[in-house]
Amino acid sequence: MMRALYTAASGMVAQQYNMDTISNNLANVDTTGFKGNLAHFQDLIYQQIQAPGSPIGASIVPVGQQVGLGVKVGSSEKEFTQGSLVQTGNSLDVAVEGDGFFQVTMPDGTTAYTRDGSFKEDANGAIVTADGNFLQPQITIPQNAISVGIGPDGTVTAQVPGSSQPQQLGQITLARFVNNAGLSPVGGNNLYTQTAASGPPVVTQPGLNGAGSLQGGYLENSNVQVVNEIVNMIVAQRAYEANSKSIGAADQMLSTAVNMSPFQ
Amino acid sequence: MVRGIYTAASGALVAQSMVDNVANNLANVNTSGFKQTLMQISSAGTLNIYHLQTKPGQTPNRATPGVSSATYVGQLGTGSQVYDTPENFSQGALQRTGNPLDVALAGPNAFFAVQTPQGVRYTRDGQFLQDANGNLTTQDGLSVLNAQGRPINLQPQGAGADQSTIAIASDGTISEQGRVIDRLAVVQFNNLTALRPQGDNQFVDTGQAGPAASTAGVQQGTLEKSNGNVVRSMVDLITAERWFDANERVIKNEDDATNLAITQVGKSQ
Repeated sequence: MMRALYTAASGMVAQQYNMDTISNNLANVDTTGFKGNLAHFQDLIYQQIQAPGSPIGASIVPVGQQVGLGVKVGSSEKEFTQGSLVQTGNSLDVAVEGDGFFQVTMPDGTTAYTRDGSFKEDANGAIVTADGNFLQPQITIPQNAISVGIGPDGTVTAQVPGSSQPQQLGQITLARFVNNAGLSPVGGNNLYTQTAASGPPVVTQPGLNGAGSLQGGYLENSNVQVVNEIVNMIVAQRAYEANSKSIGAADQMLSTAVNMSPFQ
Repeated sequence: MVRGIYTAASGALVAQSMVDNVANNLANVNTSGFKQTLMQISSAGTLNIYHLQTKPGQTPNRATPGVSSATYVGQLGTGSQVYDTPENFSQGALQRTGNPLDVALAGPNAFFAVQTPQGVRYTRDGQFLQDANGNLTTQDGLSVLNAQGRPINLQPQGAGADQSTIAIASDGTISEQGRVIDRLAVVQFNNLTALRPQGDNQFVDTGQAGPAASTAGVQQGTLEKSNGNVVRSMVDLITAERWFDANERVIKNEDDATNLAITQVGKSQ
């Protein structure tokens, strides 16, 4: 059958994947600490029909003849650009301004990484994520604390009754990776896990060694830009439609070819 | 058999190749750095037609041409063929992403160089990453080369540089907070026909001359989209479809004529 059918089908599958990615970005347009994905496509191999330099009549083919066989999804890169900071007034909300991830201890003891700094206090006063996983290093707020503050360097302080000076409770550290895009977001819940592609974490104090500083009372919003996503969606939809036209043309030609037979 | 039926078939086959080619251009309409493949169609060989007259009592053949006269009648074409499929290296649209490691080339003949296991390949797809060792790579993990043909390490002092502080100047110089790290190779080819696409957004240089340094500008935070032209592709699709139909009609007419010759001519009344 015609190559065009399979080539165009690969194009439609790629645009479906593109649309899936865009939909997920838009679904997470208000997800704290979310980083948008960008689908990346690559052309498939080219089938060589005539090698360049081969003789054609008296002359020599200058370029050669090849036909490409379609497209594939190369990757879906997470773009770790900064999301906008939104003031919440909640003293345990904290945003990273710059590079770096909060570290979270998962129930199975492993460490996960997140940009979502909407922390809470559990029944014992420990700082946990919205899912109840402990922030690492673990920090506990005294029961009698009047107010809690988080400094740009990650220092967590509490004002307790009977003391004029705030009491230092601990320091939030940030993990940095050489290749943020190599982190795995597979588990969801705004959490990432380390992979061979990301490299090992380098734990550092906020504001030092290239890590971003912390902003208490703020949350980092999703970095998804709605306008960009809508433009990408229009392009994806039109590209899908155009590929369907290739299938239509190829189908029409095959139909013509089949109906050409006098034996009917 | 009748010559015309093969002539028309050659046209139908070229129309089919045209749809195959357009389908690939459309499938890659959203592929970063993709360059459209064009199709050049030429006429297949032509035959010189002579009117031969023989001497009485002799049969004409090639060895002993008993031909008394050969009058040139004219030429007869034998159909069409795909002559070649050159790449259209014109500039694609630029899309702003803001990602510091996304770079696009402004200028149609320039390329980035990447190291593959098969040798150096060239690409217009500048959606780059850092790998776990801090090397600048493509989405496939292939090293992007510097002006000296070596991989580029963005972290010469270990995990230090924050990606958002990396600046890539229009001449390809990569710096971090004013400190120059390296310089991207930006090359151009004087003979672009020597560059052939091989998939994975890469081009292979089949020529002898090799690349030369280019002055094309590098734009950080930008990606070059496909240079595909949907309108042109749609027109090509319609053309190919109608062309195929027209050739099919010729085949059918030739077939009908042959049918008549077999069944009607010489039919005993």
